[in-house]
Amino acid sequence: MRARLLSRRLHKWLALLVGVQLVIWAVSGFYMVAVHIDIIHGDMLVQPVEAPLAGGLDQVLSPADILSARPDAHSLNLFMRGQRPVYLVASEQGDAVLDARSGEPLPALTGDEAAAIARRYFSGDAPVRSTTLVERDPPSEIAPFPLPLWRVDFDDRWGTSFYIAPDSGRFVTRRHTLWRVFDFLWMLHIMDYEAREDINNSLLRILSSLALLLGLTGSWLVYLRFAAGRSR
Amino acid sequence: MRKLRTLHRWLGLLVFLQVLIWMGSGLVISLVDAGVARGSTTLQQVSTTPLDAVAPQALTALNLSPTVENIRLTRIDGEPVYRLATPERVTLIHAETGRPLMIDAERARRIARASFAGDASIVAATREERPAALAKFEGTAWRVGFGDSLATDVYVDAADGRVLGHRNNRSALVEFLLKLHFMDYNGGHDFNHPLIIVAAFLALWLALSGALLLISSLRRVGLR
Repeated sequence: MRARLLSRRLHKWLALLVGVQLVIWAVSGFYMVAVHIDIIHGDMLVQPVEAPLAGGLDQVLSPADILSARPDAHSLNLFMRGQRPVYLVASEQGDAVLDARSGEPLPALTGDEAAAIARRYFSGDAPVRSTTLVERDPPSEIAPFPLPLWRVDFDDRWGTSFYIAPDSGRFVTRRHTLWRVFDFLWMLHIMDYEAREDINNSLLRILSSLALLLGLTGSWLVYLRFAAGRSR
Repeated sequence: MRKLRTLHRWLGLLVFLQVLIWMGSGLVISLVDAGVARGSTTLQQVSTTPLDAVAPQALTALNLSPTVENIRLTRIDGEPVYRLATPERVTLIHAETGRPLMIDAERARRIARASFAGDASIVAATREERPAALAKFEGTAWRVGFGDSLATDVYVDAADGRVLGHRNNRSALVEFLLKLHFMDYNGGHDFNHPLIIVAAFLALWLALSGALLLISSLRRVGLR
């Protein structure tokens, strides 16, 4: 039966072209569906931290005071940095963090201060292993966030890193081994080996077209075997 | 080897339809411009003006809740506003009058317009709870529809006037394809349910058995 032989050959040749990527799609896809996205996001690593302003408001300068010193401000934001109320002043010149009681610019967090903030957000009890200030060449896992950032690594079985903004003291994000594996497999899944975000690349388009053809010839073979083949 | 081939055929029979759907939906998602589908071609940064002429009320006049964690003085739709955030909710108060600021349809339209790059006109503004087009947003939003060629909807948070994002007919197409790709027929971007885990497990063995068959066939008969 010529049609059958031809489909079989086509199926084999297409498999030769896309086989490796097909196995990669299957493995990466299985990981992404099997490990729950909340675990990938590391929800279990973080506990909610309440930081009410109530305790720190009594001697705080009023927004009007800050505005008279910084008339170019586009927005003022008052919140607690650790135990201290601060104003984050945003303007054309960028952001500045001021002590909300004195109005003086605050130095960036030290590594120990960043580690103390990270500790409060960490739900586990493993100790901090190291703190590093990331100022340039960020690892791809924090690509979307502005630098600098404190990276606080915990000595736990998840390989947890928390990222803290040195000026505002904000908890920016968390990463751990399962996230990093997911991110690597995502790169393989979408075939963008640089920024890991371009799903419109030609390689992916060509390979998925070929894979679709492979799937169609395979389905045709299944049809021949199980439906048409039965009457032989 | 015959057993492996039988396994490959039976797995193929079980999951061929979903495998075709994965390949087809993946291909089309890759063909649709992701920037357009994300709404980034119509979204523009809103220019802000300094607060220098503003005389904001003192914090003590704001009737603050003891749980308030974040106070922001900014402009929303041109008005100086205090945005007060507790872990539970966000409230807007006019910074000069001290009166609550509501995000009504008119204001939502102006906010949406300011975020929209282009001159298409607004065709509708409707309030939606947990809009289906925004997978991760749980609150209430204004959906402001524009008459552009992409049929863009601008979503504005009804609580604090934030622009949540731009969606259009390409986003809707991608959403539909993702539903198929994730076998998520209820919506909500759930790709960790038992059905897809079983299907992906079968597809994994389909791919692995296929790879083994290919290697053995190449060894035996080469490219024929």
